[in-house]
Amino acid sequence: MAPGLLAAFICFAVFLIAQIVLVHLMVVTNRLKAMALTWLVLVALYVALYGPLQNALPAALLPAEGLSCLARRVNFVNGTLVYLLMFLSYACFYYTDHSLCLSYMIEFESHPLKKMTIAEIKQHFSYDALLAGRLDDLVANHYVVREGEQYRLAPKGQLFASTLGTIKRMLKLEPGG
Amino acid sequence: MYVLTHWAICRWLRWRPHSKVINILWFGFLPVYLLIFFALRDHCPALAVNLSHVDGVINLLNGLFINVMLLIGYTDFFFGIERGLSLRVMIEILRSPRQRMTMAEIQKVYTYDYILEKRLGQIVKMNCGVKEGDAIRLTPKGSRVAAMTRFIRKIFNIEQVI
Repeated sequence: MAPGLLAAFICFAVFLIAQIVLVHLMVVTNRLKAMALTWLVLVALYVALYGPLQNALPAALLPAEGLSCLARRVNFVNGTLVYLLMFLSYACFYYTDHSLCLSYMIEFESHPLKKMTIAEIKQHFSYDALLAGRLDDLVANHYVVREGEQYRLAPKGQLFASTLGTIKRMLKLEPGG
Repeated sequence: MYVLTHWAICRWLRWRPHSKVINILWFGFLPVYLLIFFALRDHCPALAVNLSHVDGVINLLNGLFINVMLLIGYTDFFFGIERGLSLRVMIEILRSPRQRMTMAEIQKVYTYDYILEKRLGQIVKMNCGVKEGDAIRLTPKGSRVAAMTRFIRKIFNIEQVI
């Protein structure tokens, strides 16, 4: 397990550094694509690191009875899986940029008394701007089509809304949002 | 097993808030993880590990780490469904009689007061804010969360999407 895990952690650390450098030095228009590409490129680093790490690690970190061919493969895949899961967790964290709770809290924080009234929140975060921004996002990602003043679902949006809507109804999470 | 149990709780029980349920249930399933781990170790020769050896312990911790990552992913997925603003907008459009809506129509069925009530209620529930009349004031915990978020966003150059 150890070589795969170590390779995964090293690759993820390099991924984080690459992300920081990338977003500060370049104008990235499609951030998810850039993130996924960086991750994918670093899979090569994982492959390159795995073998040398296996040879370099002290015997105490390797199984006493040695590794079968199957166990070697499982360990390799396990490391890749851990690297993938760390990337997905990072993506989850990254998309808190859409979180209204956090944006409200950051705004409260910048006020001298660290508080805001509902009217002030409504004024600062206008619903028109909020909704227009989300609808623009949905249009740009082909979930929704704009026809004049009206919005209708694209096939992708229809599939998405009906599937997740069914799960939501089944779990009694409605109306939510 | 964890997801099915959580879905059953959502559907048939009124145990809330969701965040608490998700976490408590995860801890509740830790013994199940250990039980399955030891059962596989003892009864499946291909998966046998020696826990008196460092590699065996790494094996056990590796499973736990994957479990934590899966919990993060599931939590994100669940709250995306439960609270996602864009998803709610799409569901409203899907359910509208003509399957198309203007922004004004969306605002009528999905009001800002409802959105604010949910978000501000969540901030208060998490002890990040307290209600003071018509205002919400950040607690020290809320200030720490806000400052930490701002700091991390600065490092990763993350801009708030309104």
